[in-house]
Amino acid sequence: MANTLKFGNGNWATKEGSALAYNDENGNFKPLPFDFSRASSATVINKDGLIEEVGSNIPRIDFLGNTQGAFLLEPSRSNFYTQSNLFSFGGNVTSNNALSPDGTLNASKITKTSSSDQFVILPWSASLSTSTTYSLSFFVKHNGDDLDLRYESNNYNDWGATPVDDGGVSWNALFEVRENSVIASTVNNCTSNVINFGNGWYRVVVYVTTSSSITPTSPSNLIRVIGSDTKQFLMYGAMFEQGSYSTSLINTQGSTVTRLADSCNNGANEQVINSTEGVLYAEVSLLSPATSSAIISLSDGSSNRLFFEFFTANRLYAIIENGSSSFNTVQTITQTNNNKLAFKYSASGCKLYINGVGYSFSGLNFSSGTLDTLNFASSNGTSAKFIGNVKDVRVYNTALSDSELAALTQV
Amino acid sequence: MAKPKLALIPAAQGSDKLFSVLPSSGVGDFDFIRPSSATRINSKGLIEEVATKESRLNYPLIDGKVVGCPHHILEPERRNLVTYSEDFSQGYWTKLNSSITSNSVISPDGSLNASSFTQSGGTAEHSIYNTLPTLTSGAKYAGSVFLKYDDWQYFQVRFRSGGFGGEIGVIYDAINKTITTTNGNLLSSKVEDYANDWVRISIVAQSTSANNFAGLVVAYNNSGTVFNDPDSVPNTGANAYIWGVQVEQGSYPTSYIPNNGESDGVTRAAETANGSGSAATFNDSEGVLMAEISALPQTSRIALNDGTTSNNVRFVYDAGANRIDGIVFNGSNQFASQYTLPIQGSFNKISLKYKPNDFALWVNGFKVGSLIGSGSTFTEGTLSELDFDAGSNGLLPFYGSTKQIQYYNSALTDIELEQLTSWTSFTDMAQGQQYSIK
Repeated sequence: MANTLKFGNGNWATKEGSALAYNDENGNFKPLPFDFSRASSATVINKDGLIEEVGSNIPRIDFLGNTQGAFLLEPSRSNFYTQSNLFSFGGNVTSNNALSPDGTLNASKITKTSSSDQFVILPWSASLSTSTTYSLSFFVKHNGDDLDLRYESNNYNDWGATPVDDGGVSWNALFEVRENSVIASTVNNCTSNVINFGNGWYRVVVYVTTSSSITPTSPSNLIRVIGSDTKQFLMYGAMFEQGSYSTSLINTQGSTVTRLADSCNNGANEQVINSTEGVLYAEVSLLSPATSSAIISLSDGSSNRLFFEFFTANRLYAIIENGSSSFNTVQTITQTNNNKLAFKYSASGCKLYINGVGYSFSGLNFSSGTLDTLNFASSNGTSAKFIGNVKDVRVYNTALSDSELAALTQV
Repeated sequence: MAKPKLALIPAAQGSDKLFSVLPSSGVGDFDFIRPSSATRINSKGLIEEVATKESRLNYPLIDGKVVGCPHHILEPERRNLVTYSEDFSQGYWTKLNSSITSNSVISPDGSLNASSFTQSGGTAEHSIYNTLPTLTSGAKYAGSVFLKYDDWQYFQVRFRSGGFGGEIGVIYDAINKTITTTNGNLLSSKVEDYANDWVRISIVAQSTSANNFAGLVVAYNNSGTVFNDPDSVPNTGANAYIWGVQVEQGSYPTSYIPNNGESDGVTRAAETANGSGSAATFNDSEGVLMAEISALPQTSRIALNDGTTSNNVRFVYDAGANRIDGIVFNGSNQFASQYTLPIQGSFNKISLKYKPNDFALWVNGFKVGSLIGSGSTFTEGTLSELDFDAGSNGLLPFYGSTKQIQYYNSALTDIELEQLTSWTSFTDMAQGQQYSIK
């Protein structure tokens, strides 16, 4: 079998407007660059585990919890907090006190000056939509003292919420900051999560779903700091975004900032894709369960195509079609897991392998030279963009055997 | 694989010559002309002046560090219109609520001649700007400046509205070394990393009138998002480092041209490299021409020819389409193949095989065009020289970077051509095409 296109698997190279795949048959390395675009800067976790800002159209390789790196494709998001790293607090704030998750001396030390609860105030600016989930987060690090932080909505009117009997707030989530951990504790009208970013830093996240639409005036959230006088912790990088999952940090300094969507297409060529038979392999995970289509495709840029389609209800389709005929299989997977997927195609039949298990369906015949494009989207390159982490993508120019496919996708 | 008959592998600078390592007789050397000095990136990643007539061996920078082997550069004529490109203490530069301390830090040329550019005054625009000679209406201009971060994050780099019909430029984020916002009818912009954390920020715009109030502005900016807020920048005494300003007429920036007081500007003359080989070097019946090049964005040629444009084996770079054409011409096209390059400004390995009834164009390890069963080549004694132009009177000179040129006097096999146009490792391939390895 010949692996005619390789992308990732620890071999990453990027530059403005391009991510590099390659062919190394015969020991000769040949570039197969993807076109990449994102019309804004963005942040990523670099190889040193630090948050790094990259410019427009620079692809991102994310090393969060992954020494091999993963190609990161995110949707457009805005940070509604107008100051992501400048904090107002009822006690003392010491700006630029400690190394932050970006590796520079710009984390703030928050120190209590009273035994009563004191509050960090996070102003935001946005119009909220009804029945929509928002993700709110900040980075926290233990600084010698155990204490509790309660992330609160503040004025429930700002959330269009009905008052609930919890002291006048519409949602809140408690986090316990301890020496070696930060723990998501009790929640009211929201869910929460904690993500370990290393070096003692944790990102605490709250997910809130609205019940009405509203454009509040001068809204803000609170972080209630619970602990005795002089207790302290370190804080960095607050983010308030529309979406059911948190994404990479968007820095703001006085106004909301939007990170635009990533797009990566036009990889491969007709010489590395065998149109009559072959295998498309992908080791990928979605950022959250799909709410619409997310596709990785081999195609002619039009109606001759085969693709993985992540869809709602945790469905994964493998589809092959030529404009007049279409065949597929659909399976249920945990889309946010790291899945190893292989799509074997040939005129005599197709097979989808998911983490070592195969599922057969009918095949189609494409004439030689038809398939020439690999997209992280549908065949047109614009619809159903893939959103997630890509660890490894390969194209083989022969239809692998069942045992080879099982071994390739074994987890 | 057979040994090349002629090979240019940049390893040394020479006066009046681009030296070819093969043939050893020197007949493969190119006659090089540039009747002015110029600058290059040396092996330490520093900008260095190169004397008149001396060819330039330029080292590639990736993320500000020298990576890989050097290449020859050939550039068109350009004039730096900025009278004092490094001495900002001169009255030529207007300092608005700012001050200059000369010779503060090491500059991109490795000397202690870069300036501190420091805020002063109240909450107002903190900037430095010049006034250029009257522009040519409708012409494109490239402006560039070297900046280094000290303790302020955002800067505007823009053309003054005089002559450009508006404030055209970018907001540069000095911490993250990226452009965050553009403004006006900006044609292009880029940030290039240089050694010791310096960057060169370039902007290109088209003049709209022959106004004599045109100039380049570097101003402190309050944020990365709002272009017109220099007036609201507080005076914190913040500082940045500045060096090497250039404004040149052209649609893209070229290598830095120092100017230490010439009010009419300083001109770097155009470069040519021609006349490699002889009739004895080249096989008229069959052979392979190979080049590893990165072309500047203007249409150009590299041609193995007979001293005219009547017979040639040529590469044509079509800037508008970002396309390489491989053509064999002996009065009419015997073979012509076009290949659109994936990325503008990258190095590409290109080979053109010619043999009666057997022609092929290879780019970066793939055969992208071929013709079997028809086509003739040349009568004996026809091909006599290899030029960085169309082969006659300096027509369509090649401007860009050259990592290697090879000529084989026999038609190589497909396996050999694949190897010739590929790289030997992932790192070699990625760095050879200016990718940053993650």
